[in-house]
Amino acid sequence: MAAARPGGPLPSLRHYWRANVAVVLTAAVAASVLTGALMVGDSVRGSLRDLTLDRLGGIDHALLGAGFFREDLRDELAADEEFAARFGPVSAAILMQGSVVEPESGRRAARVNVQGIDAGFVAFFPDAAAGLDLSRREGQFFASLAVNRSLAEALAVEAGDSVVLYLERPSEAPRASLMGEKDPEDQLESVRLSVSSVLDDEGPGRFQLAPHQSQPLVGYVRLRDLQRELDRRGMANALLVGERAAAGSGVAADPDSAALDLERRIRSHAEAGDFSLAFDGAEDHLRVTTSQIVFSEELAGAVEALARDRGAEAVGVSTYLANRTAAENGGAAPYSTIAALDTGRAGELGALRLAAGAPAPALGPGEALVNTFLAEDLGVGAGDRLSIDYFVVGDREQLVERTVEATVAGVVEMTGWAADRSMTPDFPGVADADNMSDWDPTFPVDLSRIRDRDEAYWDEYRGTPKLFVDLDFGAGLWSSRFGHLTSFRLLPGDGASPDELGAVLEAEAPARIALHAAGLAVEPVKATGLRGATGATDFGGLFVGFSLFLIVSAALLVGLFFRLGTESRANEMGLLLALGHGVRRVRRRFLLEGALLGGAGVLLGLGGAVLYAGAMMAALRTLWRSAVGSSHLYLHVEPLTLALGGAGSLLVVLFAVRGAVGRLAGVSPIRLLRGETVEQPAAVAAPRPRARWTGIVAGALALALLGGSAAAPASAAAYLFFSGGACLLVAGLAAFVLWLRRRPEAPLRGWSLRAGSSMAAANASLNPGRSLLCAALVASASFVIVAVGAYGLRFGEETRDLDSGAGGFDLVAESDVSILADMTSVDGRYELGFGRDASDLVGRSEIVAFRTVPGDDISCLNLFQPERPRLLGAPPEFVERGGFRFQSVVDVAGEEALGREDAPPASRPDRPSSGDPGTPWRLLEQDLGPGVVPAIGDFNSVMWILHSGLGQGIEVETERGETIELRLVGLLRKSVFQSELVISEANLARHFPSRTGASYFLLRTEPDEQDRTMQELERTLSGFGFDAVPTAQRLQAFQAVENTYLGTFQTLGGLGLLLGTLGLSVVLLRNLLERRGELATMQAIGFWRRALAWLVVAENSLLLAAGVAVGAASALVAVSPHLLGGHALVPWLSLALTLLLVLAAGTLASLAAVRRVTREDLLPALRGG
Amino acid sequence: MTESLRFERVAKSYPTEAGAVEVLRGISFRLEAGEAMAVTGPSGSGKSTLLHLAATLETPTAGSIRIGGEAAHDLPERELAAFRSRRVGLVFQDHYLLPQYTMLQNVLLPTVAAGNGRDEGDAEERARALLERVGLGARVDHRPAQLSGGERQRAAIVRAVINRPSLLLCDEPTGNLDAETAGAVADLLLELHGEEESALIVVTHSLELASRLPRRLELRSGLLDEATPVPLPAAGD
Repeated sequence: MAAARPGGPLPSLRHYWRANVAVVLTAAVAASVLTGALMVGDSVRGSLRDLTLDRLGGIDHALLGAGFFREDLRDELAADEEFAARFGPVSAAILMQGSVVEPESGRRAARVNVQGIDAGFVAFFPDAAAGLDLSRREGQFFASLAVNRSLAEALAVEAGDSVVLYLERPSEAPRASLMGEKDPEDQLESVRLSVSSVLDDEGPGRFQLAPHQSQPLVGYVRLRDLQRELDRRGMANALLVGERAAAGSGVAADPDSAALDLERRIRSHAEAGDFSLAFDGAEDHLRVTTSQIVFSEELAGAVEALARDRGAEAVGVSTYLANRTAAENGGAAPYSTIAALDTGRAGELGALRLAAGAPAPALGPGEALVNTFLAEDLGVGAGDRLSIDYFVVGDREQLVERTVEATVAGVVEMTGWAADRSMTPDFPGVADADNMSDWDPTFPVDLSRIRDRDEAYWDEYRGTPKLFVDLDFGAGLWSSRFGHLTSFRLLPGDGASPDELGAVLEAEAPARIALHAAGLAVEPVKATGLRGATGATDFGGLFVGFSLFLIVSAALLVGLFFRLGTESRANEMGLLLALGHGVRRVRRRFLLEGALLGGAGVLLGLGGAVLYAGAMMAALRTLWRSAVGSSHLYLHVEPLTLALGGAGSLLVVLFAVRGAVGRLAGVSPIRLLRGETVEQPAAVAAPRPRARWTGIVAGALALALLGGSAAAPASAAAYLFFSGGACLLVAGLAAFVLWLRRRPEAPLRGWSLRAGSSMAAANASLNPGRSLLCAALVASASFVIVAVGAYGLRFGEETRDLDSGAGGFDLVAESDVSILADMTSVDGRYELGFGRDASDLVGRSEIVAFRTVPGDDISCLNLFQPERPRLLGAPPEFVERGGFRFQSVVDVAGEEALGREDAPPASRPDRPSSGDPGTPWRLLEQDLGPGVVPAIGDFNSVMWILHSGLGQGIEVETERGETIELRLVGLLRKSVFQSELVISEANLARHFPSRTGASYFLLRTEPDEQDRTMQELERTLSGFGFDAVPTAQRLQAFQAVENTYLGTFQTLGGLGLLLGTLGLSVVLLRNLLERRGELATMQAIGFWRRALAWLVVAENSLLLAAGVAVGAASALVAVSPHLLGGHALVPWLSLALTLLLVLAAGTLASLAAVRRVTREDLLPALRGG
Repeated sequence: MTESLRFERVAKSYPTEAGAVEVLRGISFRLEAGEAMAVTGPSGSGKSTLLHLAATLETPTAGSIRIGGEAAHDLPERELAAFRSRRVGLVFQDHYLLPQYTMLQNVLLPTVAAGNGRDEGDAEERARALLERVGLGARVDHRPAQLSGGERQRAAIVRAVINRPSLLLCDEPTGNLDAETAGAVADLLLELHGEEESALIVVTHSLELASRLPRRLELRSGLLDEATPVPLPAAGD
């Protein structure tokens, strides 16, 4: 009968159930922690995915415009069968960011996502239809605004209250161009709205296209209302599109192909106007203009290519305004338009003729043609000299008047292009004025200079150019980063008429012009969001790391319990061997038992993993929320992770079991039969080469790593030091074991501390393996506590120090609407509306204004993997000023220069001072070749979020659709620039020309004026959504993430320590039980119980002290660069107390074990002998 | 002569689930200083219990035990331990040498327990001399695992006499040894007993060893064998 066969494991498992339960439980703990940690990663990813799906609802794709396009595009797409076959709902919207003020309380909220939505938007969030009903209620005077709960709470408003919404008024021309609206008052649009409903902070209440887990402030206005307020009737800047394939699962199968398909459908319906182009047929040419007034280089190139492909000749025209044109004879005319074009070609075409009848000549630099009106007005003719004043946009986007001298090359008659009013674009504030004296242009004019003669010209010819210069000459004078061409004259080839050419090009333009050239982009927003939801940080890996000590403790305990269990069955093993069972067979038998126990534990642990991960997620939502910035993180259980975690845990457990069995199987059967578990008592065994070699190798490695760190790049030095410290820990423990084996023998002379210590050391050497285990547990715990504690800084930095993370600035501010006015000047502050006192107050501050390119937050505060980092443009004065603390910078050769924290300040290249020629910020102005732009970022963001490093590149797409590489030439350390990368202002303007004005500011106030300055700025600039916070607060928010992670590490390390202490207690108890005979002998010899207890506690204290000493010393070495960096605020006292706590916990554990044993009657142990 | 040990109607029983088991049933005997006595009897007759009672490791259920005239069992635990370390030497069947200590350290353990702080040097000197005396002079720094069974037992005997106890108690001291080694160990035991002038009780199954001792007490079922009565001396003797 099978039951009679003694070979099966079940009887043994049943018989030794107590020991086996311990093995199962500890295996369950190991599996719970390991699998649970992996599940945290799943849960964070799953939660981010949920957030993405929630915030976007049914929206899969979006057509986004920097400018506006026709709202009708929506209806045309909806009626398109091909579109309908693949895509579902489509909605036109105006998406903007603005600020909202509750006028009575003055409460304000900046960075509000304001959505002007049509009736179709609700299809994306069908459950929130009621909240999104923006129709006016009876008696409601103002248009409706639906707000989400966060916004309602920020403003303390409820349905029925009225608020004021501030938005940036759209500008056709770039604001920084001559034709752009720069007056702060005209830059903003304020709209009084009535709160119609309060949406929950989910679904449409969380809507935002940018992937971020933080709760946005959201407001909805009816599209029609917003169009009216912004004077963009029938226009939208976004089309939101759902995909049919995504309707069921919420996720599209092939979003990139869908986006391409959508782009094709959009192109098939878009009109030239949607690409900001207008074609007007004239008698002999086709006129092409842009609603942006000035053609960008890409758009101009696209028009030229279109014309070329149709055999048409494109003549570019750049028309500008001369403030004053003066002759040497004293005659002067104000405000004349001046057109730059190929006058020679225009002459050949008969479009420009000299008054004498000859075709206009080609002009060289410094030559000009004047029309007959101006020639007469100034009394000039060919050969006379003219002085022309005109504005250009300066480096800081201020208007600067310049003067150029030109020689009159001839006088043109006012026919053809010289009499064509359309040569001049519709300058805002000018084109629609009946009289010149009614001008309200975007640039300063002195209307008193306008004469009757000028008004007469205006009445007759409007803005018809009075002067003509060569295109290159003109472009050299007033071209800006926005371009210079204001129109094209296309001369049809192949006998086509201008209208025919116009019809063809109008049809072709939407299909052929790159979307980005018109500031348009089709984005698979949901796919992008879901991609980002994989997270910048691998929380699975992070929590495995955090839980490592806990996992290792549990694995050690599994091995320990199993080993104790098998050791107690040593005689059984010996008997089996003596009966002729082979070693392998016996080993297999025990391994099988271990595997069964481990497997049962792992299965149990998978349930525990769900609990562990659930607890971690709950902690992330609450205790550790400052690390994740969201309370919307929930448990997600992935079967694959359970399987992987279970398999991994089983491997760990089997490894531990194998170690326990292998050790015992090496003992001779005779000894095993006697119950002995070692071949030779350790106390007499020669030190094993393994311990010696482990010590030597680990020590040598530690030396190599620590020595190597001196020459290593700063970014690697910390790792080398940490690894060196860890090796030192191993070497220290190996040395301790060797010392135990070879400690000097002290004669026992009476009952003294020395004798007691010597006896304790001798006792500890009895079983070095177990002693090592105890010391290793404590050493690892101490290592973690000291290393983590030393890094866990309290924020106490002096932000006013130039080399601090705040660079000496007190305040960091951002605005929703870019501010063009120069806040550092009295005039600029006056323009912005500062009163005299407020202006004086703000004027006493050092202010640096940065242009920005919107993008993803790359700080650790964003859990999503950023795709496009936000960029700041550092102005020249900031570069010259220097400041901030650099982790590392590249040198001229592109190699990493020493930026080590422990380098003396004098030798550090990263210690700039005001005016210091060595300031690393100057690296931003290096020319690294075409397509490469130097950039500086914060070490933490670059390393952990962008997963990049010094000298490496990050690719971004420019406004022109080109891909450039942002080469990281410097890494800051714990700076305020953790959410973005910094490039030079010049490079930002070059690659992102439309980004005008500043929306990021750093301010250094007078020491006692920080709060007042902040309040005054926020009050006066509330319409701009200006929001300032102390730099210390911003740095603290970043620091909080790091500290929270460290706290998490410590907490889980503490749990590991708890487990370790439990193990320590078990080891000790086991030791004592094994040594009952020894204790009984000592009692018989005359030692009283308390003396025996003292000896045991001393032995245990020795192990604890050794563990703490080795662990703490190794950790201090590991973090020494940080400690020597000068900015570490190590909580020495709390660290010391924590270590004392470790000692106390260990001692308590030993006391419990001692108490258990010394209370027992030891005499049976003597009888047993 | 000076009385070294006196048992008066000593009984010892152990509670078990099936009721109390009486191991010794009111035995009485007396041992003078320098006197040696063997205790024999079948297994389970109470020999070891008698020895443990004499060593103050156990307390009698009834009757009284006086060692050197003192009722040591009434002493508090700490004083009792100190008393034991100074006045009683114990040799077991198993040597019970502690494996982590050298021979010298093992031998010195009782001096540590006794707290002989003032004569630490003397103790070490005496320990070395005794080890030399028993032929282990070259093995003082060896650990028990490096010695033979006979050597270990000799060291255990030295440990038992290091504090010059007035009472030397041996529980089957040759039980684990071959005949030749057992003879040598017995010789040593008797020699040292003679030199140290301590009273000696040897519990043994070995009739050969028992025959070498001048007195013999045989225990049967917890009672003294009537065939070998040991008269209780009159009070005041």
